[in-house]
Amino acid sequence: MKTQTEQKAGHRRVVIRGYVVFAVSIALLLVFNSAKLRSAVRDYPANWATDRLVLAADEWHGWMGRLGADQLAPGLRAPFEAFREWRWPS
Amino acid sequence: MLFPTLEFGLFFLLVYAASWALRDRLLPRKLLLLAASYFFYGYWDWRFLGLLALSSALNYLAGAALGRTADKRRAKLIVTGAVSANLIILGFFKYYGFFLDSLTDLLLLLGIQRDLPLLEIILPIGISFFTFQGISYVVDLYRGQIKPVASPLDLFLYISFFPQLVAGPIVRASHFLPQLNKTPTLGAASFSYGLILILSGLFKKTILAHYLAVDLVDPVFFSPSDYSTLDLIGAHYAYAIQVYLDFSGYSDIAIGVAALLGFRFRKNFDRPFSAISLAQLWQRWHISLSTWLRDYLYRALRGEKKESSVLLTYRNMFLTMLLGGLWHGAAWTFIIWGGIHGLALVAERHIKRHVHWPAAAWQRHLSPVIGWFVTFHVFSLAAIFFRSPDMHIATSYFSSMLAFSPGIDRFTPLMLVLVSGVVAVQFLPANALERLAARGQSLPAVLMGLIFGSAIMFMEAIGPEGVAPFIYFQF
Repeated sequence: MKTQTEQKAGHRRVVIRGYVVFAVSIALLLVFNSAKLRSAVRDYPANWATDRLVLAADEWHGWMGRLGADQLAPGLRAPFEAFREWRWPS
Repeated sequence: MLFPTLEFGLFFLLVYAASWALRDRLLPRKLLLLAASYFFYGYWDWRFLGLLALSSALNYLAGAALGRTADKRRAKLIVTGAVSANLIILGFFKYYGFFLDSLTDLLLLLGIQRDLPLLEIILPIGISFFTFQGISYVVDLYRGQIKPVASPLDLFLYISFFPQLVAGPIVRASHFLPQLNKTPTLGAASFSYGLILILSGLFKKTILAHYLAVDLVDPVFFSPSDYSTLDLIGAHYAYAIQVYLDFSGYSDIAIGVAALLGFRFRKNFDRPFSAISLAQLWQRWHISLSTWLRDYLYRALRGEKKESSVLLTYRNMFLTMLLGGLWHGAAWTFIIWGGIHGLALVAERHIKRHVHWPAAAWQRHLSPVIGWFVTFHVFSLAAIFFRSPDMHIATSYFSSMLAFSPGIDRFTPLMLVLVSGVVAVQFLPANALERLAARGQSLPAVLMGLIFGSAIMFMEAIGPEGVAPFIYFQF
């Protein structure tokens, strides 16, 4: 049987593990999926704060574009779209 | 706020961090989860927050009154009043327009023209689900299966807890309330299982259900007479699969999100398309609603007697499905859909009672195959009524399907792969996701993050811009 302290320590490790998982996922999405981030923030109603968000997202997307990281998503989509367009021979 | 959106992602991260920071302080944690749930609901339409609170207060007061009385007649009066009040609220929002339209048509038929009080009523999202939870609380109290909540906060949180608030699963008070009052823990297996369920739900909704809908189901059901027989056959299979993916996808995400917050919800779908009988399919489809209908509607129809005549059993089965159809929507198409399932269940039960199958080995092997084929087709054909916006489209769909017009346009190879792939996956072992989660729990956190992030990125890459609301939001 685990003691209460051990259980609590085990639980804390899992919660912290959660932070790491989410942080790594967010980083990955920010780098390789900056186009979706840019389009998502553009959907917000325009105001002082969202204007700045849009500018920041544009700038970030520009950086990722220069690094070539924004090419991964279209690269994945292209073969899927090709299959989607495929029709039975007539 | 829809699950597969940036807003929900940010909202969830904040709730995750704050709820675990308050792990050892139950009252502040409950207050946080309640505030988060009301924020989540109010994000759609803040005007209905009052309705959510009213429903919770009504059931709390009824529960408190039930807890105070030992008089059986008085208890029956309280529970009848509470259930009626819940149903009146639900009925007003869901069926007012339908009954007014039907009454207008009837009066016109009789040659009477009347200006009836027309109201533009917006259906509050998730109203059925929180009403059902409220009813289950007061009825379970009345039946002596649970004790009244100690604090209104517990009941308000039970009714409004955000992961299951708008489209289920319908959580029972006896299952949820005890979890509120003990210090929550997050195990490695639960965390891993929660992540896998979230990914599974997102994939079902944003990729599979989405492309089945936009490439095949929506255009074909918009104008069935414009399409060939093969397209129509394909589209009716696709719609049955789409509803499953859409709804079970929502349930997966809800159960996964709840698991990451330390709550355990039961499975809501269990590979329904591998069922070899309709009764089995309904035990595996939207399990929380099927069991709710069994415990609160079928049992109420049956009364206190456990044994009833065969005819009464058949009547109750039929009525349960018919009312289940009406719950889905105030339209004849839903009533017919419920009626088909009611009749088919009765027929199935009757055949099982009276027909003795031959015992030869090849026949024993063949009968599950026939059972699966018939079950799947009854479900998918009845779904034509479920999907059709009106009876005209439904009849047009059937007549066009029987017109044997040649060609194939919309039922593309991708659609065939999606439909047959989803059906094939139904035959995997019941605990396949749990086994995957058990393997994943020992992975290093960074690797797990890379896998989780890559899976979301893949879905974002091939998925659509934006996401359509879940089908069951309208119910």
